[in-house]
Amino acid sequence: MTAFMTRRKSLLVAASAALALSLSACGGSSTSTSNPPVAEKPSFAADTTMAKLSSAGKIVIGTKFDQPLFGQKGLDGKPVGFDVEMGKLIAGKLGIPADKIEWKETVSANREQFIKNGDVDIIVATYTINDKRKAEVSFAGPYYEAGQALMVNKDNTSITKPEDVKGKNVCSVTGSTPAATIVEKYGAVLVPAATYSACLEPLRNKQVEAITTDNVILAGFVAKEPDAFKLASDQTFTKEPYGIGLKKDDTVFRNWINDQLEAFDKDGSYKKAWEATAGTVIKTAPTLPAINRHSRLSAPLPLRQPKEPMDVIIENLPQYWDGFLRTLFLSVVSGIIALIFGTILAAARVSPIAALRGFSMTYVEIVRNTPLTIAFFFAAVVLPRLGVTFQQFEVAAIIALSAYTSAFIAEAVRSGVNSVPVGQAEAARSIGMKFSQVLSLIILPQALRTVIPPMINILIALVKNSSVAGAFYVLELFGYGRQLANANGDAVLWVLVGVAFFYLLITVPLGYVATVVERKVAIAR
Amino acid sequence: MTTQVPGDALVSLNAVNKHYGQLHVLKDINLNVRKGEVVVVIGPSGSGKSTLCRAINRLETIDDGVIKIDGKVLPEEGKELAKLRADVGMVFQSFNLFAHKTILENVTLGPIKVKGLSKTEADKDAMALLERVGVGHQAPKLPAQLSGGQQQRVAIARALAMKPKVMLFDEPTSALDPEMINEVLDVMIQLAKEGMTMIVVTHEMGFARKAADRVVFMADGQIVEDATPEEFFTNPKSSRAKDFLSKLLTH
Repeated sequence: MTAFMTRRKSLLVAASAALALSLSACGGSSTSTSNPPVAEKPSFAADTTMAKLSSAGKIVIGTKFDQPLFGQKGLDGKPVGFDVEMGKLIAGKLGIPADKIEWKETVSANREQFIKNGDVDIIVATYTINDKRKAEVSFAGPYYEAGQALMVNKDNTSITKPEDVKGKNVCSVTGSTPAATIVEKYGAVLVPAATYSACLEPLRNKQVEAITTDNVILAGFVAKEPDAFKLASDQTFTKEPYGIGLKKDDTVFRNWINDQLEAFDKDGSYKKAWEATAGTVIKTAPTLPAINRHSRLSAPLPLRQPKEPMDVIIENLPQYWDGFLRTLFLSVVSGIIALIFGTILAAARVSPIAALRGFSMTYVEIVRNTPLTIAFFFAAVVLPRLGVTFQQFEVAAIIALSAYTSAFIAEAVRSGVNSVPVGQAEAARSIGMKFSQVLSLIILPQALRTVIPPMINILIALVKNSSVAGAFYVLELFGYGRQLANANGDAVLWVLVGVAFFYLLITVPLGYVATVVERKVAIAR
Repeated sequence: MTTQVPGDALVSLNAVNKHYGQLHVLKDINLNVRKGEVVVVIGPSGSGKSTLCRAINRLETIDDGVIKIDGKVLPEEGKELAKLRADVGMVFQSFNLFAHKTILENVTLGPIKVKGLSKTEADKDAMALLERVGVGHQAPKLPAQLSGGQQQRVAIARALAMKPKVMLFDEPTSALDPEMINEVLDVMIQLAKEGMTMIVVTHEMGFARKAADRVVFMADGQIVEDATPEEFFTNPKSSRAKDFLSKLLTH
């Protein structure tokens, strides 16, 4: 079924093959889509995947061999398509010419395994990014957002958008997500089939008016029979982000590919690759989707092994500093959120509205009496299941830390509120102040002064608690410490001394601030 | 008991009851205070006189009965209540000046935040009031830097700044050293002369004689006597009142 190609397409392949032959002779500075520019002796930091691939001068890329327009094996045995162009562009940036790329066929079932085994270096194969796959491999990109679309007969003009299929017969595969969407969301009458190819005849015979599934699959059908079918629209009505698969947690490589994708977008090679391949059917060129960077800060730094155990700290100072900054970032952001949310919770706790009091009390009691790890587990694992997904694990860490800390802040503020004599509130109420004014003008300003020392203790605990984030994919000070300890079995003590030192660098000044502030704002009664 | 037309009353309590658990602290209280009247509430401690005073601006809730201020029933919690409280000045036994605000700010906070006056206007009014109660030169200080008598006079100025229709005094001199009592009473007497409607819970019989239009005597949560000061002090009717007065006089 994959042997077919349009005439235009085979001509293109032939032409590019010829170009490749003629151009490789004169230095390979080609701008042809099929032979993208090859960087001359690019330099990469030692020990990175880029350096390894670049010095080896070859790369193994996994792609599909049966997906028209994205990755389909041509007559010369080489795959062509948008995914293939992406692979070539990346290889070019590594200084690897197209003819040094080894293409391996990957199918949906074996992609994660291929990456894990090291059978391929990267995979560009209509590979949808999802949480399940992210647990096994890492993704650069997304470089394209596919999505559900409609395919109709060429002469059809009545269907241009999903809303047009209401009450009409539409074919899709039994039990698939696109089938459910078109029925539940757009009110189509489903004509189920076992495969998408089995939908083609009913469409031709006008037993159904459209076929629905991913635009990439549909575009493949159109590419084969451009005179019979067309896409109802270039627009999709769901989003399936395609990523470039690579070894899990090779963050340096991942960030480098992301940087390249953005560069391809800027210099026009992304658009050019599209127009030469999938663009022949999906005329509207896509814009590069926002790159999904898990780590807010730069990539983690590679570790160094010292000669003397003690030197582990000095040698890895940049790593410690990087971890220190990340810990500081987590603590400051979570601390500010917790202060605000905790104060609101405390206000709710003393409010005249019973429901608010109940909510605040329940929240504080539950959160305060469960381990922090549960909060992290909830933010990093449960929330994504409920449909709240984060592009960065730091966000989950910040949610967990601030949700947890705010319960303690609320309790501290509440006890501060209780320390303000009740007469203060009565006097304020008796001159006609509303509850919110009493609280914000009279009670809280006085409460916060008495609350500063316990509050600082809570913030110090927060700094230390942020180390739990290390267990949830956020590489902060403690996470670095653990990696360093693993890499330097003989210097674990010194590794931990270093970690402790950098924690103290945050917590000791905080304690000092507490003393100073306490002295300054002590109020006379 | 003096009879009054209820419609005439600025403050009226009708069949008011309140319990603290088993304790019945206000028993079927009926009281009307006309505009410009000065009513002194006296009685032994635990008789419910402070609770009565605090119930009038709903710092204490009541179980049943009706309290009206200027013909309006005291609202439940919320904006309406806050609005009404602005019309009822309150002076507490323990002053309750805002500890983190200066003397001037204590007086201007209400006018600015509740009445929406500009700061310049509020400052001008506040300074005039502080001068009137004799603490104008203390304006930039914090409450803790003032003597008790000065603080209480500031508290009176703070209540007056809202231009209330009625002033409630809840044992305003009980927390003061003896030598400071008179400076506060003088301010209150002056206020009474100017025609302010006042309800004063106090043990100061001298003030009651000098300034009160009526004396209300409470015992065990009930109003036992309601008479002119002359009548009450010279010829108390109930045995409770006689007993109470005899104890005062022997000291």
